[in-house]
Amino acid sequence: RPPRSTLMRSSAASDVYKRQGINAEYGVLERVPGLRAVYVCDRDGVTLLKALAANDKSDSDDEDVSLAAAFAVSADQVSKVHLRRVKSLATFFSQKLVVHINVLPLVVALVAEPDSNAGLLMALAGDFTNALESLRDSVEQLEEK
Amino acid sequence: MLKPKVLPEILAQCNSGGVKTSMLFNRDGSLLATVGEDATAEKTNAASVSAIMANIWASFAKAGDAHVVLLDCENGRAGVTVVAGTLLLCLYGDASTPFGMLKLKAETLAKYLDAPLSQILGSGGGKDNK
Repeated sequence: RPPRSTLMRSSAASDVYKRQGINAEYGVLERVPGLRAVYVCDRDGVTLLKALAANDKSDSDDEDVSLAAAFAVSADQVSKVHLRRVKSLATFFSQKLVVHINVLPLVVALVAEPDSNAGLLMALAGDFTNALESLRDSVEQLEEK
Repeated sequence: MLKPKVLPEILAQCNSGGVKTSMLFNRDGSLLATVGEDATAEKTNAASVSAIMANIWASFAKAGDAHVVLLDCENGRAGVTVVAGTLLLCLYGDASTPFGMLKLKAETLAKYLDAPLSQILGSGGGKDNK
């Protein structure tokens, strides 16, 4: 894949999103217990948006979003077998639970306490897909250029 | 000592409650044992699935001390966990398979197979136990 000026395109898409005033990621932080942070990234793992829980003191952004690119690659691979399109993927670590949601070319990364309800977080795939529709369209258009 | 032909029988015990296929494979994706509902389809599917799951595990587990990965896909749900430190176990079913069951079965089976497989792998016996 040739290098792209991802940062410039991502910030343009992010501006569109902010202008539209969508804040699904903030709503989710309030609704789901144990959720520490929500990141919306592009398929290369560049963060477009993030929302952190009020009491979250951790600053492990890089660690938390580093898997987004791996998720994009995994999603492409899995789509080729009988399981078809990945909607979400949950990784259980000892110190946290990370759920990735497929809104390709966007990836949503949810970072939560290790004992959080993974099923609940994975079930948010539909909500995020709807909320991020226009941002996804913007990023898709930018990718085509 | 765990006999190799017992392995499919043990894997088969997981195939209930929504779990349709269980498989054991190396970190490089090469299958050691697989037991599933549809034998013909399984052979085609299992090799591809194990290769992809091995890649997924390699990517996600290296970010930290992952112990289980669950996937929710259009046509099914899968759970992957590590066994005996070096092998991977994947259970999958259709889209209605409950995640809790998938995770619990994967973890329980991994724990059960840990000691005997570690013994075999540790002794360098590999897959040629006669």
